[in-house]
Amino acid sequence: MKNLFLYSLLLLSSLFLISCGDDDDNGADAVGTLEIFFEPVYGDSGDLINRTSNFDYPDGHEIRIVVSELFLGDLKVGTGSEEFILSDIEYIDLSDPVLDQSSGLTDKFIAFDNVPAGAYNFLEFGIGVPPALNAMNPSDFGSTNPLSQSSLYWDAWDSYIFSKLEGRMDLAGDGSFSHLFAYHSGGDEVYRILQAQNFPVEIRSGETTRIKLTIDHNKLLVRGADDYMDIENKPAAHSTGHLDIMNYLADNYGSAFTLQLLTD
Amino acid sequence: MNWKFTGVILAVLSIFIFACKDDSKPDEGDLTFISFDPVPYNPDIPAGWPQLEQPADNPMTQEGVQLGRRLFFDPILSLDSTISCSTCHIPEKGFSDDNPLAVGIGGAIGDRRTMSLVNVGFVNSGLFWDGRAKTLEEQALHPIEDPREMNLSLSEAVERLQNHGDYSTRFRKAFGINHIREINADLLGKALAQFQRIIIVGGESKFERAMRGELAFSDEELEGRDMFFDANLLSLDAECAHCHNRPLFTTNEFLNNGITEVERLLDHPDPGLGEVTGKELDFGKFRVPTLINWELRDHFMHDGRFVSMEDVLDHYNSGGHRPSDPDEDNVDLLIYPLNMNQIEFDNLMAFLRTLSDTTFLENPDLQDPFAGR
Repeated sequence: MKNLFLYSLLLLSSLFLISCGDDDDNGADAVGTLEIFFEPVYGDSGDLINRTSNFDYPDGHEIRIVVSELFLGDLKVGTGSEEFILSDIEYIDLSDPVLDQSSGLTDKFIAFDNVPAGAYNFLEFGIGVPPALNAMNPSDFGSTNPLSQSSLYWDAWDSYIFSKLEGRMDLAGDGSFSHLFAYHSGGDEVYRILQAQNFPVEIRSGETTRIKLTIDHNKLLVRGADDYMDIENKPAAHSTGHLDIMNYLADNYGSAFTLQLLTD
Repeated sequence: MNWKFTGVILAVLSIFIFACKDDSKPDEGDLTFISFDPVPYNPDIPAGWPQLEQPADNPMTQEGVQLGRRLFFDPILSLDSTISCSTCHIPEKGFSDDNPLAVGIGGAIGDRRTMSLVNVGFVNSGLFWDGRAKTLEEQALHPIEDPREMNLSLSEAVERLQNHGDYSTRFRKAFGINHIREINADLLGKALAQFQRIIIVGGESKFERAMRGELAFSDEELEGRDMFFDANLLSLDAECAHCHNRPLFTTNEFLNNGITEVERLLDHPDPGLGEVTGKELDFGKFRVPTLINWELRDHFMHDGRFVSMEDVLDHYNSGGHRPSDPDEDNVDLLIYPLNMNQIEFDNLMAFLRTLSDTTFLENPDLQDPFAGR
């Protein structure tokens, strides 16, 4: 009888301990999802870029954006004292986005599961590949990692191609758009870190928070009426000899990005 | 009473006899008496090359690779047992062949050139010229059933293998099956895929050896290399590496390189990737082939239209064909007139010749096991 009492006590204690453990686990599992939807546009009209859409350029010609791709490095959210790394590298192809009419969002997005619930007040990411990762090469990564793609690596630079912006200009004014341009950037010097400060992002347990990140390609190429990329005379940037062009683009990303929280 | 006793005796004897008969009749399809102790196969992968990934349910083993090798070279997988995989994928021809378009059973001619299998194990973007097979395991079965290739139903192929004593033993040793009835198309594809994954070629090319510092490029090769990789501002940028980047000298992307003169996307005589995805913008796109061992091949492009690398370079030097309507143009934007002069042309050719490597022909695991038979 005494033993039975003892065993019962142990069993109850065990159950208590286990249930306490469950509570702790639930606390640790308080995570939600963060989705970032990209909206690649050109100009204030907010029209999506597309290989068949014409846009005015300050030099009087029209252009089309055919390819827009980029790496995003060290994505993180944080508070003043803590930060959470969402991903060390993401690759996003913004070319030819498709708009879902019901949601008003494009098919270009990345999602991060298991983000600790909490109220964050900044979002940060780099344009390109962070130097530590850029010191590696495609053979260092498995096929599911975008850094494994040899099409995104440039041997002559010992660098990944951070971004690709390709298109065509209607130089002749006859609708042929036969003047092609291709700006590829890379190299540690071109890496830029952007931080959206005072940008409140609340992640709730079991819920999805959505952010829309608009990239205005006009602002990537144009700073003002007399300050813009000379597509007509400098249509290509593929090598370190074109560092001026790469830096021009890299510096413009900061003003080209706009963030909007879609869920409260 | 006697009758009753006799009946009981007969019944007991019958049971005994039947039991003995069952015991004495071996199941002819049973394979469990054969040992199953596969040894992992670790291929030599040159330093700096991509990781060779294998499906979790089909890791490479010595037994699996050797089984795949036999199946690859054996005409048993064609309807009339006249051709094998190796009939079109000839090792000495860089695992391709001499024909502009693939030639199958009875002389049937396919729509596309035989694609080289060199380094096919590193492809993660879709197999064939049009990307229609996601895995090597899946890819390996297509030519067997294709009426213009080997034209054999998979059920017939499996039946032949089940009734082949040597193969049933080899399937047991490779995959641990217990009975010949367990030989199926899935295992056939797995064995062929294992063999194809070991076709790793190029690590001993002059290019690789020069990059390792074992020998030096000539001045012409060096100039050509700079043009190929856009490594020198003073050299013309031939834009090659965008699609043929090292170390595999293909990015395995699907692109339209402007070889076909059409005015509308839907006019492409061969839709290529577009046939698989159904997307108009993918019409005329094909997988970028490797340049490693191009010297072993007699025809180039998916339709075999070019008969020399000079023809290929002439095409890129010209800028290819673009539709006049930009809305119908999905030709890669890095295809444009290069305006190479003859010296630049020759330098680029000199560099391209550094991509040859025939040392793989000495690899016993890649040789025809039936040679000389």
